[in-house]
Amino acid sequence: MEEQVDERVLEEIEALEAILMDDVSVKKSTGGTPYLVEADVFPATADDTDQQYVRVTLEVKLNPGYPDNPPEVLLRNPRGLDDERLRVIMEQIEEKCQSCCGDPILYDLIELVREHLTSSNLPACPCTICLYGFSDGDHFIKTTCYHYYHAYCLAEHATKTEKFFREEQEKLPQFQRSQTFEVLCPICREPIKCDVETLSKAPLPLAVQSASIMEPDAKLRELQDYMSALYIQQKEKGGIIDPDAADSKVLLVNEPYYVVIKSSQTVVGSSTSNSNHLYGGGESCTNTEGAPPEEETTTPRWRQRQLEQQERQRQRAMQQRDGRPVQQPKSSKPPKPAKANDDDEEGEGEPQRSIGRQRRGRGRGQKINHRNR
Amino acid sequence: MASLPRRIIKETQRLLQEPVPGISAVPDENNARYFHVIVTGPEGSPFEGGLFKLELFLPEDYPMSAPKVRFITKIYHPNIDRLGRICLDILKDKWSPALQIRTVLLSIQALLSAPNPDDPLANDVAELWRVNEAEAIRNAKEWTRKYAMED
Ligand SMILES: [Zn+2]
Ligand SMILES: [Zn+2]
Repeated sequence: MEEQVDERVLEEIEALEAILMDDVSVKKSTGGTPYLVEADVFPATADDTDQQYVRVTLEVKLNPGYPDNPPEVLLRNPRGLDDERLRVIMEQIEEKCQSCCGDPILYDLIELVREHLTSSNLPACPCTICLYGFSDGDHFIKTTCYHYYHAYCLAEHATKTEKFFREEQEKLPQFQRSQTFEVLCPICREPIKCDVETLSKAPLPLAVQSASIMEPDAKLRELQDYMSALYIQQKEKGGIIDPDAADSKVLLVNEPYYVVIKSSQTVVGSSTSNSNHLYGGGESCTNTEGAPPEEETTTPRWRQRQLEQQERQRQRAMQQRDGRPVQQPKSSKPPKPAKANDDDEEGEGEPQRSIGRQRRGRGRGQKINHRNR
Repeated sequence: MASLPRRIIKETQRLLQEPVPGISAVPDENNARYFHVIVTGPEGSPFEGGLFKLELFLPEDYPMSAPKVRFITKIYHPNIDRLGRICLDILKDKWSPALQIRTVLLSIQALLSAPNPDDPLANDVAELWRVNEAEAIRNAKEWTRKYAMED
């Protein structure tokens, strides 16, 4: 049977190709009948591709009998769109297909999708640095690897990694130093091109400013008690590591990987306790510097903490027996974990948000993506 | 009291509401940056049946810097030293702010399943693991039974 190409369809396809050009591709049978139309749809941002944070490919299968019969539609390759948003778009597509039998609707379908993308031109996935989503008004970045970050968050990452890079370079002899620092994508570790100075002018993300504070509950209390009980149980069996007893000579000298974190005293095998043992994990393997000696403490901080913990347990047990309310865990004195962090003191008492205020004050960078409606 | 970055609150809530199987991480009642952790020994490993306590601390600039973690319960493992310090790249130069407390603990759990004596960590445990794996595994099981099992 000879193929009869519907005039309406041919006209429609011709118009589509003229308007969308490279963003549409049409597959035709050998007889010249179009049977599949694929359109890459972006939000309408006046062709500013840097401002397009979402996209999707609309695939329309023109069944025999189209446009009198509805076409089959599929959304492929979505970026920055979550399942819920895709579901809503799909629902409206189906509706449109059912209600417009007899009329060519390809262009209408593409417009429908485009309108959706334009009205929700914000990535639906959260920023993996702060774990919060993108709100209208946030400054954010789309990397070339298609990952999204708040400008503020990426700036913090870039600044920190650059500082680390410089510090590591300092340790190398001159001829081994490299001058090129690259910011890597936190998710895929691809190099990212970004202007850190501009980025760092971005304000704190909105969702981060307005998130709720966690209140401890009974379940948390129960878990904390279980942790303490297990600790005591293992302690009694001799199963808890005692930094005092560890043979620091073996530990620090024979292991090239765990090079001296501590003072020279420790290296020669002094068994004096040093609180810095505790948190060596984070830096031990690469730190090849001899750290300056630290003063000895008579009671290691971890032991103080352990004693405090046991004391708190006793107190709580007593309070419970007496029928008094259990002390809220919000009480101010945090046990200072040994060698928590050297900069720890600085941040104490300083609300995190003040950083955001300072940054906000500096105004907006021009290159930062900013969503305008 | 120092305020806590929202991300830490969010991670804490998720750790409590959707705990990772075999891992439990609970913030200290007085310091929300300090976590009491239990990692259960993975099935089929010499650490099976053990409840290993760890401590985890989120430094001031977390998540820009890696959490500091160490084992508190004694463990016989070639990549964990006598002080409980863990040799794991993501805790050092391979840290990324896209990682979280849960991903770190999962990596540590994975390390229990796959000890790597060829990692340049030359302690006696790694040495024995290389020359006499059967005996090393026997030791690991013994330590697990002795120190990390509940009564
Ligand atoms: Zn963010
Ligand atoms: Zn990426």
